[in-house]
Amino acid sequence: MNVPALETHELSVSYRGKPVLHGVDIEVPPGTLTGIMGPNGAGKSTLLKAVMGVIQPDSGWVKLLGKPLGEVLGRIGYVPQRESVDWDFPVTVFDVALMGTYAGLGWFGRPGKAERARAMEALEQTGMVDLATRKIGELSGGQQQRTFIARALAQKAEIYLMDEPFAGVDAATERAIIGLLGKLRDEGRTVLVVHHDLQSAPRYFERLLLLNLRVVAHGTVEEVFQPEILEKTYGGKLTLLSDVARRVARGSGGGLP
Amino acid sequence: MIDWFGSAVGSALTAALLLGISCGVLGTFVVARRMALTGDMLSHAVLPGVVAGLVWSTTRTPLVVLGCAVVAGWLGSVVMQVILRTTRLKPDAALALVLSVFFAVGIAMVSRYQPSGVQAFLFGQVAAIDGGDLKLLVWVTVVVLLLVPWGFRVLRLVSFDPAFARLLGFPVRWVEAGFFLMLTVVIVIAMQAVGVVLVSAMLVTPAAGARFWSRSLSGMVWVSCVLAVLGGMVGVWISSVRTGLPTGPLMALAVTVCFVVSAWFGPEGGWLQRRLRVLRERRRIAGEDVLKRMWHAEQAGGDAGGVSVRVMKDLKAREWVGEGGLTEAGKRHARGLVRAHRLWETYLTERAAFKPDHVHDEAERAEHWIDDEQKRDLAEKLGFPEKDPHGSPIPPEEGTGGAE
Ligand SMILES: Nc1ncnc2c1ncn2[C@@H]1O[C@H](COP(=O)(O)OP(=O)(O)O)[C@@H](O)[C@H]1O
Ligand SMILES: [Mg+2]
Repeated sequence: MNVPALETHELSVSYRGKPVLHGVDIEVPPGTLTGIMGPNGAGKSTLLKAVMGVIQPDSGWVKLLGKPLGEVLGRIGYVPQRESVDWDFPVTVFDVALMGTYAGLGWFGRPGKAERARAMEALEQTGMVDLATRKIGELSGGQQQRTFIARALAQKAEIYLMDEPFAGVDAATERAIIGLLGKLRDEGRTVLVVHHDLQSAPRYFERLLLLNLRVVAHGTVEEVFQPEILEKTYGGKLTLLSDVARRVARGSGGGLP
Repeated sequence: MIDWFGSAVGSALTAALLLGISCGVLGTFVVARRMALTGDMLSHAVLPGVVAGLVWSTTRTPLVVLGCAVVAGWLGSVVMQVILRTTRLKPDAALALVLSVFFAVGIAMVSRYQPSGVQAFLFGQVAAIDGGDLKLLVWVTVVVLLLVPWGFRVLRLVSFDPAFARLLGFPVRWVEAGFFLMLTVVIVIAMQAVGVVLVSAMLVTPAAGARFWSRSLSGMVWVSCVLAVLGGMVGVWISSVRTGLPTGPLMALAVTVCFVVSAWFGPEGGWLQRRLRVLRERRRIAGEDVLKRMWHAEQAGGDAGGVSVRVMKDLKAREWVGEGGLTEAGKRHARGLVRAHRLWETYLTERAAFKPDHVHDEAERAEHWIDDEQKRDLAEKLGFPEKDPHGSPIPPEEGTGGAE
């Protein structure tokens, strides 16, 4: 019996009464590379945040590696969306990579030789060794993404959640990153990546999750990458669904009728 | 020892020292997390608690006053969170709202109960810091000095990326609560020295100055301690020994002088360093322009014309020019510049819809700033062109053969 790496059951999320995700019900098999796609505001970041427990869902549950999040902390890795990072924060590239090794250290342990070596190795893999002492605010977009990929690699997590790691990245870096993600998958890790470019998606990923306020389709690229499904995802015919849902939420919250 | 603490100046200087350390350490985190306004909110929101404490404990027991103040500060933070969660107000508006309401309540309580000792909290009065306060301050400093370096790694992680910290299993909420508690305590104590409005100066200014000295958070903590202690003690000294002016404003001003000096002379983006870098880059560009002229002249078999002694010295120092003209390194660098120039011209005409006769000046500027990686990227994007828009050959990437 193969336990899914990620399983959500009827997951619904809203921000201050404004529903963003409805009944997301997915099972992601372990050792796969999945692209999460959908138009802007489709709730892709929100889904990742709900999985990570950053926001509480209205209903439904999430299981990672067959267990609730609280029991698998440290085994889940994450690469934040570029806009959500404070690039003025005074940390260096190496500091960030080293953060990937904190899971095993507990509260007061200090990163030793082994941890430093792991961080350095991760920086090597992402081609960031020469920039290790730079402040993260002084990097180009591609270098910033590579820094956070390095943190993820240093962590050696079993599941990776990455929010638009290809945003603001040049072509060569994008190829390098997708190569690294493939390697993670080959090591048996599960990788979920929010992605924007429809053209490259079938080349990059083996599975796709198409999202637009709800799951439009989820499966292998062959099953999902069909014109009519893509039309359904990006066609913008779902405004009615969100409109009605918002009115229902307001009504039951005692607000406007 | 007894004499030192007993004398007014001695205890004021000691207070400035201890306060400097606590404010320096916590202020670094406040600045790094962009929480300066939150610090301001806390210093105003604690006032109702301070007054309640002073009324309740007529002997002015420091711990009672502190306890009440912390409760008020905590209430302020909670109200702030509730506002953010239930309304559409942005954090700055919510902060201003909490700050003013709590402070208004505090002032109303001051005029209703007229507690003795409240002046120190409003306007600051280092002389009012007595033995009991000093003892408390020593304890607070010790706690800050023990707790922060110990938990530095975790506190930095939680400050920088709370979502990631949570995923790693760190109790983000508790770390944040602990940080807020320490911050409130230090703010309440600093208030007595400099007054409610100037707390921000002690908390924020040294840490802001420290940014000009260090690129890492740990380095900033040290520098900001030094600046806060220095500024605080100098302020006390000028006020009590030299002039008799009020201490709080002088401490704030002295700390600000430290900040200004840092902003001028700090090696991490200080004015002087930036100025020097501009001059250095100008010299490099002047040298590169001459180098290119010499290379073109050599290619065409002509004369490069006059070169100033200073630039020539520069070129020799970089080993671009030797006894017999351009060196190999010099030629390689010149080809790199020409390659950047012509690639950029091609890019501007093909991709940015510039007219071919308008791109030369742009490329003349840009060629000095395009690094190897960007050249490679440009070449790839343009399909490895061999000629620029004017028909001149684009030198190939070095090391791929065909250059010599
Ligand atoms: N913190 C927030 N507060 C209120 N609304 C939010 C917040 N974050 C996201 N939203 C809204 O939720 C919707 C989904 O956002 P998001 O998950 O970021 O979309 P995506 O990542 O797919 O572009 C958007 O309409 C966005 O405006
Ligand atoms: Mg997003």
